[in-house]
Amino acid sequence: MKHSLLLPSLLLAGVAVGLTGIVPEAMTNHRVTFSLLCLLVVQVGLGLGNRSDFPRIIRSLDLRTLALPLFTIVGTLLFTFIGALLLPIGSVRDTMALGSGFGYYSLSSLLILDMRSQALGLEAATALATTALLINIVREVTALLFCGAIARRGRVPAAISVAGINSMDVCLPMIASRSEHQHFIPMAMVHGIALEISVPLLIGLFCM
Amino acid sequence: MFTILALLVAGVLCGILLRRKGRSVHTGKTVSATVAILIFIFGISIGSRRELIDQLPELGLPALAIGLLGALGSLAAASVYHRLVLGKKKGGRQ
Repeated sequence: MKHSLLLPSLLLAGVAVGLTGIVPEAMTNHRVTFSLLCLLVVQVGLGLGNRSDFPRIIRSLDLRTLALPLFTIVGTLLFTFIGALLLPIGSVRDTMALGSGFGYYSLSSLLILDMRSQALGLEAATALATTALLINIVREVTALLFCGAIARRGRVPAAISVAGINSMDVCLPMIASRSEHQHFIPMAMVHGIALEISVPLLIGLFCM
Repeated sequence: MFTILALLVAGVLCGILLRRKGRSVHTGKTVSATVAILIFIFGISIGSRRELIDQLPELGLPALAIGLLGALGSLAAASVYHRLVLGKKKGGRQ
């Protein structure tokens, strides 16, 4: 869903179309994008609840498994906060929202665009959303590059944590590449799902 | 924000109900399609703001820094997790 060359090409195609200026304002209208965003979120939820392994994942929940996404969130936000103080991106809260995507670049940037456009204006909100897109692409690429090596060193929870939201899909094969690490699969799934739910929560919180 | 969260919860509940009734919903393709449309429109909003395109090089470096900091932060947290959560468990067993 978050992975293919299709999305980057579509994004670039959109940028190219936008540059020509032939698109009527109505197409990038807030109501259009918000309706699509709602449609997307319903589908994400529907797919989550409907997973055939959903009961198995719920049963595998224990304190130890649930703690990992919390650690990921706290660690990411803490370091993002330090970055927010040092880097000239926007307000600290906005930067925290940008860092709360955990690699989920499509949803996080769209949420930020939607939630900040009323207060900041469409222009500034688009700049923020573009930064969110870049930040979360960096996070995802970092995850893809390093989580396999971290897992092979036996630090599987660290590999899951650094993978962020991608611990449940693209990074999963790398996290559990060794047979003795297979039992970490439910933990990686729970981690990804917990972060997927926390993305709109955290971004909503920081954009309030 | 509350609309978004309510819709997410409603979606999960509907998904669970449908699964219990033995119906499977394949959202993969429609999710991809929705994301594709949204990303395309997002691209248009970026492209129609020339100032933003000019700003991109300036946005790139802070974005790289924040992205890497986030990954580093989760690594640091994971090593605390290793010690606090997993370490404790091991100690309890021995």
